Amino acid sequence: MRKLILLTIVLTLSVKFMAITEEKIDITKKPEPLAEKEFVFPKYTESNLKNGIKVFLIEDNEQPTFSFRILIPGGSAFDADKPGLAELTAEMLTKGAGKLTALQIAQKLDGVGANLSVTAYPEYFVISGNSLVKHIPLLLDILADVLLRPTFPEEELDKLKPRVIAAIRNEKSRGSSIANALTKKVIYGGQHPYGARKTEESISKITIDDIKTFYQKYFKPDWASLVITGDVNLKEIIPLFDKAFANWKKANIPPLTFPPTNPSPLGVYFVERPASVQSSIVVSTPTVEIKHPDYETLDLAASIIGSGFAGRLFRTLRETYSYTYTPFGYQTSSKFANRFACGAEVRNAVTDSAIDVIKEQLNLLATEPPSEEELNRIKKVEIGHYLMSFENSDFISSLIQNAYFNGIPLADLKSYPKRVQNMTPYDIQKAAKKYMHPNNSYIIVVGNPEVKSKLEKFGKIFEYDADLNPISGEKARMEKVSLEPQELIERYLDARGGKAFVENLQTISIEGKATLNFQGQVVNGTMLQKTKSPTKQYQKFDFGMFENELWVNQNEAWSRVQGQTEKLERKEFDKVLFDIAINKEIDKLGKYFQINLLGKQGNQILVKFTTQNGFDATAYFNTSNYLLEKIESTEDTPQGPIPITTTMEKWEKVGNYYFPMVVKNTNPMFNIEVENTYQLNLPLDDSIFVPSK
Amino acid sequence: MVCFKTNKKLFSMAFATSLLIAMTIVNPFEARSKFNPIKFERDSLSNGLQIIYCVDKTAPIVATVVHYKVGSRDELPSRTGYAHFFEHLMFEATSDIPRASIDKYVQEAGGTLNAHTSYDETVYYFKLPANYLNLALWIESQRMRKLKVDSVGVNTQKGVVIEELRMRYDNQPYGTMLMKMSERLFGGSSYGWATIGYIEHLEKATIDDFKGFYDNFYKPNNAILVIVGDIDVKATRKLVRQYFDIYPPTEQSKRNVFSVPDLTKPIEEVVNDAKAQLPGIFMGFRGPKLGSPDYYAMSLLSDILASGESSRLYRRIVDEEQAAVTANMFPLALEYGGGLIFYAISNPDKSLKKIRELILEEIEKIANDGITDEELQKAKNITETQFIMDKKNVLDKAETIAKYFAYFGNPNLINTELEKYLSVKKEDIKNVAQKYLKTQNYVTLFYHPNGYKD
Repeated sequence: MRKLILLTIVLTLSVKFMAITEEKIDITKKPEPLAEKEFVFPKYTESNLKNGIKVFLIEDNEQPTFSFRILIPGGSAFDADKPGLAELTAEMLTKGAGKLTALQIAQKLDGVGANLSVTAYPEYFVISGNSLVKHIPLLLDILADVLLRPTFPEEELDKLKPRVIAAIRNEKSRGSSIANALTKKVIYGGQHPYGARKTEESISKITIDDIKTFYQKYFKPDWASLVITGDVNLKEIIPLFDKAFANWKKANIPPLTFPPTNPSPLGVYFVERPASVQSSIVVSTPTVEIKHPDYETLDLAASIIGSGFAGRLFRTLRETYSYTYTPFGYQTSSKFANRFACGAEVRNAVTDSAIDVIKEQLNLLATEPPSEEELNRIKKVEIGHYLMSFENSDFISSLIQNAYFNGIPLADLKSYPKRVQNMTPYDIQKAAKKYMHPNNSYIIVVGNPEVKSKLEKFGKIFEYDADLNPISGEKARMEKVSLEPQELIERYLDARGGKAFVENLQTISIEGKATLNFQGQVVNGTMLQKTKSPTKQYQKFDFGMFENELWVNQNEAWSRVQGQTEKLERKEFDKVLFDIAINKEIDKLGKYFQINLLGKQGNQILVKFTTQNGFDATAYFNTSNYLLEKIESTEDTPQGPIPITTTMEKWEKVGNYYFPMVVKNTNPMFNIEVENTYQLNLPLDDSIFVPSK
Repeated sequence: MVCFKTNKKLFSMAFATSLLIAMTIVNPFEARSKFNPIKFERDSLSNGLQIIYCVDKTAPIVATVVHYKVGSRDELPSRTGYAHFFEHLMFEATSDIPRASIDKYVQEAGGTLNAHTSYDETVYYFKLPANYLNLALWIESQRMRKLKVDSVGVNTQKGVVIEELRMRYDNQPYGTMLMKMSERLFGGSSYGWATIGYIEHLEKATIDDFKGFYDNFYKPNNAILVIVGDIDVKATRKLVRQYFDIYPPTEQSKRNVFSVPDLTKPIEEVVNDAKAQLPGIFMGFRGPKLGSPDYYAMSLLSDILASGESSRLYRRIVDEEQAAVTANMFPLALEYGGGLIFYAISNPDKSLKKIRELILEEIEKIANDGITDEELQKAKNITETQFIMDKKNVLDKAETIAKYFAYFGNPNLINTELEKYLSVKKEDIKNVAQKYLKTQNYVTLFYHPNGYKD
């Protein structure tokens, strides 16, 4: 008996003990996930209205709510020369319809807490509405009036325009909005539907007849679709829509197509915002249309850079450097063309450092596949967001409708997680290299004027105003200069030392300390340049791992890069000739080049030099001392033409003549800065001006 | 249910019922419009942690909310910004979680996370696939008492918060509005500064200052945990105990208890804002406290004044007079006081002073003449629709339940609070207009863009 009791006690104890060990978890350790539960793509049903409109329905009985979304392809793509027309048309639909005035429409909708709105996007119009289920009949009555019987009262347009103009102005007061709009303009082109932007002027020109014509032409059901979600079923809701749209007939509208994009030259696009304490930075590259096989891979690559807390910009810009609160990075999801964009709002003083960090991260992704660990994390983020949205039936219905509009098979929606799972680090790097390389990126900055000079190292600066009109470079507003080109050249020659400069100077020898800055890495090297009249030059850059030599012998020139010698022809030769002429044989400039004096901008006179071989450079001369301050030109590369800026600084006297002590050469890929030491009229043997065999 | 007291009301109810019957014939959906009540279970631990469980199997996901009863109003006027600073620091490190891993863990699980701070509260939330519930609980448990308040985390987040401050306040048009309005409208009380605080206070805050703040407010008896989603309540109760029962009971947090002194004179200020392109006016009145009887009437009055294009402010100021491009108002209902902020943005050729006159006229009309039956019904319908539509997603539900629990001790308000709105009478609305809005003592902030003259 006692034994038994003892046994019971032991058993109970051990059972208790076992229970405790089983329950005890180590709360210092990250727990393993519990048993996985399967995500099932929400059920939807398909149907058609009598007029042919495709319908998708997601039944959601959680609460007695109802919402719908009608998508009509078109939108501001059809604005043509009237940016803002589609938007005004959309807004005007609810400003008078059937027998109802704008106020009556608002009273009826607000009266039951229902919402109905019409919005124009670049690719389509969306008419969406929601209400409690009990208000469906009222909501659909108003929908039918708004969509089929708008009255477009002129006085409502008069009231609407100042509001739209105010919205435009308000947008102009936000640095990030300006930066975003300018990004679209430079990537897609100002005339392209994705890049066009309404202005105060374009809005004020639109008439009520423009709107009526636009409505008649484009608000047709030909390619439209309808998604419905809520506590309703197909059998009861389809007849109600059929009744509402009984008189809405197809009109043989051709399917929507978009023109090709027309990107601006690579470079830095800058908008001055005098009161800024922060710069809005966007670094952007064009990517591919949404059905392109690389699109989803790029989405993932974009997420590695900018996806919330897990993105590289968050880890670096925010957490390592505290430069910013909100870094971002994403790919757009338009049908015909897209862009990758990333950036942040950062304080003035770190504007250039932040761009360095961004470019470094983009370069890293383009050159090294991400680690499996990092990629898996991003995959989980992407797939997680996708699956977790399954609880939101409105989100799913938009997803289905957008896929239908984009021509993506709906089965692809269900298999999306699997496709993401199958992407490899190498896929990501390949896509990043092809479409997100920092060398092919546009840099857009909206900020304080004080930050502008720090951006020169990233490439040619194109200045725009807050309305996105160019204000510098060749398209600039310029003052007239009462000088002939030849006079300007003479003044430049005088500034360098007068006629003696060309008559008495036989040779110029330069030894320079050169610094190469390549994606954040600094390499020191040397530059050697020997120039002799007439038109002979030898030049060598030596950075150890990288060498570049150049020989010019009157009508011939050769370059040698990494042991490879090549003869320079036409445009390339003209470039070398320009370099010699502008630095030594100044009197020959007029002979070799067509000179066009563009005008005065600030304290600089802009002069364009061209040849019939396609050579093209713009030189900036100081208006008070006529010394040369800057040359802008382009260089052809396998990635297309890239802008190059050369600046001449610290002009000092050597003997009787003036020379720049510092010359900086900037392009989107690297910068070279050279500190020059000059020796004049050293004897130079002619043999050095042709390459040795 | 709504209970009508006077005969007049009985009559109008009878009238409404007959209308309803008439409508049912043409509206097949009428019957299907009842709010589906949200079921939940309450729980608590001996250390004072309060917990709510709510099952929603729409998708295999779970939301957790931890609501700490601490906000900027619990700071000293000379040491502001701490509550919001913790919203950042809580993502740094704990004794068992390395620096900056919390977001990594949650994202690796496919989840999302965030937090917010206001005058009265600091709230943290996760949304995760349901099988990662234990991860959420582990992180919340860790940072409830085991946060590392050290120089590495503090210095990093100081930098980030100062950038956030610059972005919000110094670089946005009208960015200083909330700060100035808090100072002027609630001056002399603990609501008298904006939640984000002042840079100089944060810059000089020491590790010990932050440690003191953490130990006072971040503990089980000052927190509410709400879990909503595809969960098994019994198993979840067990998990909660494993992660949170490890902390012993402690003394109650010391929170600021105060009253907000009355405004005794009109206050106005012109702010020259070079970042603004359009002139803006912001008018602040004192309003009812959160959950007070006046609060519900004021909420409906806000809808009548400002919801939709049929609202009084829109009709008069934007549509008829075209004096502004937007005209709006919102109530700011806090635990110890309230505010009502009216605002309008206009084109530069319009006068802000004129807009103020129009707003005051609209207020005067309601205070003198009251509102119409249609307006009352409209405000109730808008409230009902929003009330129902906001209660579908797991995170919305979790946040709402936590709020009701934190401020009223009654999570079931998620099912019943609507009745308080629906029982507001016309006179109540006239009364609150008179009581709070018919006064000279309010704050006006005029925001002038460069070159604007008024």
